[in-house]
Amino acid sequence: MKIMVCVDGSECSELAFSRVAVLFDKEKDYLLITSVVDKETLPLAPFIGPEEAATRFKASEYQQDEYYRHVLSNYSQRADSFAGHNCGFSLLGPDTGTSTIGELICNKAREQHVDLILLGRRGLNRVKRAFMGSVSKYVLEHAPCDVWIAKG
Amino acid sequence: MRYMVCLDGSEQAKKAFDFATRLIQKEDMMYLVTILRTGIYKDDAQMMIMKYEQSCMEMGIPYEAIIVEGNLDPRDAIINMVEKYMIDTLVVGTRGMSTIKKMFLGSVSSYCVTNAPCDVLVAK
Repeated sequence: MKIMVCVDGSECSELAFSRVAVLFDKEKDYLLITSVVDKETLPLAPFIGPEEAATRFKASEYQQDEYYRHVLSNYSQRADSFAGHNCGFSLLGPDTGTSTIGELICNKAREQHVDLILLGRRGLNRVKRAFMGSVSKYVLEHAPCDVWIAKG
Repeated sequence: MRYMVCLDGSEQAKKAFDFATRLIQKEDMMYLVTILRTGIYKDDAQMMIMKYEQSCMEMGIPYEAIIVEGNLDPRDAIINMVEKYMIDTLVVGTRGMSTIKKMFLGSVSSYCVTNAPCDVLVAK
């Protein structure tokens, strides 16, 4: 079975990942660890002029990228213990078009013929009021395969 | 890991069960649950669940069948069973016997995803 686990470094994705560790069958399964660079959490600066803004934008974009790469590499290392060589990772986005995080995840799952997508109920967004994050909700509805939502 | 699959005789529920069996490992337990409502006779429910019990036996999966009586709202009944049996993962289909295809996720499945105190596996 090809399993895709979506992580963003949040507590919820930690739960999702620990689930995969339990479920994974080294003989039969393949694990794809996916993370999406999220442009939406870029800090909004007060008006500082176009050039300064462009520099800061580029710098924070770089930081964003670095953060998600770091998250991915951390999980990949941990996956080594239970998945060995049957593991790949994928950093998606940021998309220059209008694709949302959910869309990027579903498209990748479709492209890779994934059998199961595993993700947390929420991500890095602190709004705990919502029972379910927007990404999880989108993936649940549009995934080309079964979806496992880890509690949290 | 303790799995609970919600069965109502629909094709969707069967898909949910089939997918769960692919994930199940040696020390896991499968709970087969169906909620009785008006119009559904206990005998029919028992016959329906028996097929799944047989599948579990053939595959060597430890199982327990639960038929919930009392004409309860299936949403509450399922969550109660999850708590009672300390389920780790609830397995549901996207829809049950309803033919309304407009809604992606049926009312029961949708309720379970938002309110279950455990992981939820939605089988498509």
